[in-house]
Amino acid sequence: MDTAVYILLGSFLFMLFIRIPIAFSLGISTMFTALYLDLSPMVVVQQMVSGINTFSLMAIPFFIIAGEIMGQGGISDRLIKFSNVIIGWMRGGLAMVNILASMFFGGISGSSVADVSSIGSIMIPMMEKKGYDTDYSINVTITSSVQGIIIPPSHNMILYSLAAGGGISVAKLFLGGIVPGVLLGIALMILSYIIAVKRGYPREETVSFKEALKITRDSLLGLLTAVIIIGGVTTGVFTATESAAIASVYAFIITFFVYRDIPISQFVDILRNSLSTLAMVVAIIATSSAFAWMMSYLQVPQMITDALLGFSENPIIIMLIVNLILLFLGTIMDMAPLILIATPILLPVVKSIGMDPITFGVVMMLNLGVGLLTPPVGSTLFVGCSIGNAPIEKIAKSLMPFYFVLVIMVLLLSFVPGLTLWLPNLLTG
Amino acid sequence: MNEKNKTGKIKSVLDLSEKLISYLAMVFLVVMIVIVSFTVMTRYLFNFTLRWSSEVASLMMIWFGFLGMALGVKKSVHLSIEFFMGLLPDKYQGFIYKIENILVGAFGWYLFKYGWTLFNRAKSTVLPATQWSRGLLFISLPTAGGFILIYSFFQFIGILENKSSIIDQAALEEDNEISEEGN
Repeated sequence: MDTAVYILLGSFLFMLFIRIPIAFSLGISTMFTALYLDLSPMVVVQQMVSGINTFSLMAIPFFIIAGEIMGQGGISDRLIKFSNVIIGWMRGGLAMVNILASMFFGGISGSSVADVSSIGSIMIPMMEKKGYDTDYSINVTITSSVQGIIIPPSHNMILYSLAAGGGISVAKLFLGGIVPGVLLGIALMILSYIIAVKRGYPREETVSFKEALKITRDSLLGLLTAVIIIGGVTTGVFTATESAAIASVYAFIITFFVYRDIPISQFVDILRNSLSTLAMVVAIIATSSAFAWMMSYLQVPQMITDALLGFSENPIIIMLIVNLILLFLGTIMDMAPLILIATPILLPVVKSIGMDPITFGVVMMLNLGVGLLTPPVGSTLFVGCSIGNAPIEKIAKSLMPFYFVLVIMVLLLSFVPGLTLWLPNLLTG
Repeated sequence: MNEKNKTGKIKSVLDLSEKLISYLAMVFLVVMIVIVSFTVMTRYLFNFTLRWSSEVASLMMIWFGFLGMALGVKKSVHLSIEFFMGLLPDKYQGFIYKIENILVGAFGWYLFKYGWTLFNRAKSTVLPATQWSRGLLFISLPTAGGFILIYSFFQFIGILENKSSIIDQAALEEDNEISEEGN
């Protein structure tokens, strides 16, 4: 049994190391282990099929499409104007607008990279033009994009619920992310405000009442997507998958018949764009479910839980270790594969110290969200730097105060379960 | 010259297969969205649920997933950890990509072989709502496995670009841009 564990994890890590795509590293290491254990290869293939063959999985492509349509179709521009009406008057107004717009954008798309590429490509040049430093503009843009992962709807939360075996309610996970997402936004606003005052960044001019009214109406139409999804899922009017399908249809109608910033022919490009992302995510889902099955067959999660509990029985220490593991893994690996691999291993650990799976889900999202902002592998950081045309090392260094705020948030969410559980308990009972 | 023609032909056939697969995948995606949202509408407006809707949508999802896997191999979009190998000198890069082609090809073969066995076992049973053959679901596995094997093979012998040549090209373009800026 032990040799099998070494084969599974050893070959997996080795293949990751030599740059074999994660999806195939997962599949091939499972394949090797099955050969060694003389298990029927059919079981492995069957596990891959059952990984994709769940109705709730379909929510992921649908949410990604809805987000992509809205992102390309001019919603970001409207959300930025709307945020400006609300908060642009403060010192460092554009930074505040940036953060608030990302919060709203998070209610439409669950992708931090999508947020940076659509909000960031407008905000970063705009901030630079108004005299904000480049590093600050990029820092604010990329850190605030992490809100999108936590604020519902988030396809990563659905991945988490799938990886946990489907026993966790998506509605509760969605609701659990709202308070932490907003808190994160406020924390980032406070930090950005302090820096803005220090560096003497400008305020924005106020908009006329009539203009403000039009802007509000325009962006509320887009934000209604979030209301449909969250409202529908929590009241049980429809499932997460159904809400995601409706959201795609709604996004399609709003973008091509109401906003009409882009021609309908661009829909094919949007689909093609999403196809690459989806191909990669769904492949990882398939092979990781075979991998996770093999891990549980070999009782790896149990072994890791025992090892950690053998090290210390203090829940605070265990929680800190789990956070450190997630933060570390997040720096070298992307979010979706990590959720699928780490959830079956770490969820039993945190459950054994009495943590609620909803809380852990949100904590994990934030940890991995920080990973998107850190070198050597940080897709959000990379996109932000390429938009702002700045060297990655320089931006990573200037991010220090922002990392600090994010880590404080991680600890706060880990140790104050009320922040994640209050709203879901209030609304779903 | 003749040799070059031949490889060009193979490449264009493979490129065409990529195009067809991606259009098929996009159609599946759109149809899935339409089916699922249509079901919600009929449930609330007309108070009836199509029995086959979730079955057909799930079937398409499986096809979409496995076709996407093959497509990802052709387009080299699958996520990998670039960091460690990036530290190695350039001359080893091609060699490591060859190893990737072999391993991914082996995976394709595995999916093809055992997917085919699964298909043979399942083809005589039917799906509950539509009464379609369950083989329709499992035939996606050998199909995808076959394409993964083919794409990896032609990447290995250098007829299709693998990631290394794509990266080379990007670097080349970047170099050009820099020199243009320099001018």
